[in-house]
Amino acid sequence: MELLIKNGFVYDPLNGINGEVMDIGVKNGKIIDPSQVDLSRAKIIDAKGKTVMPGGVDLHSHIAGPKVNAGRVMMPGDHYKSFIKFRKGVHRSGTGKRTPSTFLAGYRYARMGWTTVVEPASPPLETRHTHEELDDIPIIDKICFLLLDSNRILLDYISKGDFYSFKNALMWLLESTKCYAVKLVDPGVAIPWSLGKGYGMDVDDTIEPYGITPREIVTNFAKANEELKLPHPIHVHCNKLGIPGNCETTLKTMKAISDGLSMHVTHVQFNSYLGESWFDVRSGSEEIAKYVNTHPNISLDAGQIDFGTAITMTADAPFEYALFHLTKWKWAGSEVENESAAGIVPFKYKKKNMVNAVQWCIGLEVMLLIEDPWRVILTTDHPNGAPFTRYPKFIALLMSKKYREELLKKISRAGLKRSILPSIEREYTPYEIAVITRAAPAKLLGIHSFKGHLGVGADADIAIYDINPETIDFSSDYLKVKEGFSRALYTIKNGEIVVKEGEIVKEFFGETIAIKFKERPDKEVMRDIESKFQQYYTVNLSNFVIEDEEIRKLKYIPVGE
Amino acid sequence: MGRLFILKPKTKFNVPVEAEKIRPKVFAEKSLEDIKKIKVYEGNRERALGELFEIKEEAVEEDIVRIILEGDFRKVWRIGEKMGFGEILVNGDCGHYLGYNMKGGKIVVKGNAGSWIGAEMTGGTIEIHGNAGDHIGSVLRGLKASRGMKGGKIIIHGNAGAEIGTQISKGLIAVEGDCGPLPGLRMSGGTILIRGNCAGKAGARMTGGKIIICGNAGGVLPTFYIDSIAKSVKVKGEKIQGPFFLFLGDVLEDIKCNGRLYVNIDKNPELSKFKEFLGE
Repeated sequence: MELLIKNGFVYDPLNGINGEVMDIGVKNGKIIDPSQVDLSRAKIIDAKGKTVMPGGVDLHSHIAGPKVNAGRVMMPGDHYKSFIKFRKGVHRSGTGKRTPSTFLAGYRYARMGWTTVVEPASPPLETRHTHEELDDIPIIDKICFLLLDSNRILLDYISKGDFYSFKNALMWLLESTKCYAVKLVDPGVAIPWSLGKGYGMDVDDTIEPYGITPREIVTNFAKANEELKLPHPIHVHCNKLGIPGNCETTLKTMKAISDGLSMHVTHVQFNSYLGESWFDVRSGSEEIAKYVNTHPNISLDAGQIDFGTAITMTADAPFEYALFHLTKWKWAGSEVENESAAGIVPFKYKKKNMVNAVQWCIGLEVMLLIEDPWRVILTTDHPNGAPFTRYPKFIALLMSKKYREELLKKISRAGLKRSILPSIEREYTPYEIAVITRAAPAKLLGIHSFKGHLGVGADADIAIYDINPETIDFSSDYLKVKEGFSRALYTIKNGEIVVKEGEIVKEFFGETIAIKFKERPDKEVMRDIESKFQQYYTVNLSNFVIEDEEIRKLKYIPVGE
Repeated sequence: MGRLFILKPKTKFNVPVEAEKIRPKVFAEKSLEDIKKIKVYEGNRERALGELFEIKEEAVEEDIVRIILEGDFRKVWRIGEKMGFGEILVNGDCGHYLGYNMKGGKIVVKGNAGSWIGAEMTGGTIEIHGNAGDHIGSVLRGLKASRGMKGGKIIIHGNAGAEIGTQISKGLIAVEGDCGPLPGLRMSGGTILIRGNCAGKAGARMTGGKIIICGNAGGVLPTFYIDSIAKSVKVKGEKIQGPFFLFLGDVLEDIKCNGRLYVNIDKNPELSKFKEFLGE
């Protein structure tokens, strides 16, 4: 199918195009020079007065995997009123707002113009389940990160100081589970948690019986990540998440990474609280922003919260257990053998609650205070902070100080005194919005050669929004901006029109992107891993490895020399 | 000048009909022709109300909107959902979710009723002359306690099923006959009156309100403390003669033990050991 998108205002930060009126040609799922489009056969989309952007890339969104499934079971109330009806030949039905079913997750992302999504935490043993669910998500391209912080085999190597074996084991784990990058959740926490401890573990606390610290875990992974030339830096959920005073811990973790190495600190909002207790909690966004502004090896995503019910699900089990005692509603906890421990707790963020108001401000503050938009990314840590369907709201909030003032009137005044959001004047331009939602995540993921831009040769993932940047005043017409971004006029995925005027018109399945190392893991190390695997796990190693055929559409990215 | 509507099913329904539109407010604003065009779902198909039911209108002297449902309504669900005023009379059996989220008015069922009757209701009266199913006056699964029954009255002249009054915080559920296990699960207020026997586990995880069991209670949970003997209990001005054991609980949920469980002494000989604890 050939397409020609005519006269749109194009925002393509990776190619430096800022709102120029341009034509874009599409052929065989790739972007081509518009002059080469065969006009007799091509479908022409008139995008005059519309905004054209590359398809969105979400760096951190829990949309699949065993814990999302447990969340669905735990929240039947989430599925009563939020649903989509079946339409024959067009799309399937689905339910759920905060934990949508697989189909609905794909449709909702496509409706907003997002085309690539990362499931950021999958324990190795449960990754087969994650891939089964990802296979079921239509339209969008999927990436899966591997949860490795408490993996007994890797921790063994770290405690012995055997970096070579560690690196090879890491390589084998990533490749055999068809995952893309390393995710560390509260590094090492599942080890003390198996003894009922571990709440509030700091960077320099010792993890028994290994005798190592979370700092060593992070630095070892960062070093191995660098030596293996993985496309994405290590994806770290820092220690002491959700505990007042954790800003210092986050800064310590960032400082542990020396200049040659790089790190992505995820949902930083949950990790930037100053103060000693919940009574004197303050926003620590300034400290975080100050450090990140001067250190280009660190990147962030926001983890913005929104008011209303959310479901917190993370592999930080002690924190979830503590949160359950705060909410006294529901809790689920589980431990994956030798690998990680996770918890799920539904949580309601309230406008009039001081702490929740501070949290709400921190996410926006971080995004507004960090000067380089290429290193800060808009996420809500779906469904921990808010469902991903709230992205348009936060885009509008970032672009309009007036909208922020409007909403700040409604939230807790005690919370406002502890944050600096009311004093921030900055407003994002549409170009910067295109950076934080498309170009920057694609670049951080290392898929910017074919995703997140509209240059010739890129995948034809395009979103067209009914927003005219010439007539609209982004600062005062914030409701129009919000509506415009929540229903894409057209979403084009791999050269096919999948969304038209906010409705799904076609369904197909996207790819799962994984990495393939050019070198093979050391045979000596492999033998060691095999014996360790037999010793530690209840499954056989041959049953653990995920084959290529098990995944619907697999795309490899070559990594290494 | 009021309006009276009579609905009769044209056929026997094989799949559930989601009839949340059968409520006085919707009918009061429309002419008979428009009422026949109201869309409801039968299974997964959209149908007009006139296709499924014979609808007649009669004028009445009183200033009231009354809907009379004649025949078998066992497969018709969600009748009177979110109803605020008026009357619905079912001459026969009716299905699940009758009076779901009801705010006012009156529903009378002459036959039996399904499950989830008066779920999440905040006002009004439901009276059932036959038996009723499970989860009467309960909250839908998985929702917060604040969504439970907050007011109104449910009176069942027959028997009721399991888990009646889950998470109720205000209002009255009265069962003339027997009821199944787990009445008043997680209740925080309101009253549940069971004149017959109960299948056990009454008041599990309750933090407030009262449950009165005039027949056999099927045992009392070990997380309840014996408090005293009450000669009678007052429910909405009516005096119910005992004598009753008064238990407080559930200590597992709340150490304050504000929930009160009255159990008839004469009908529960297996609980007579509690008399010794009270020194009588």
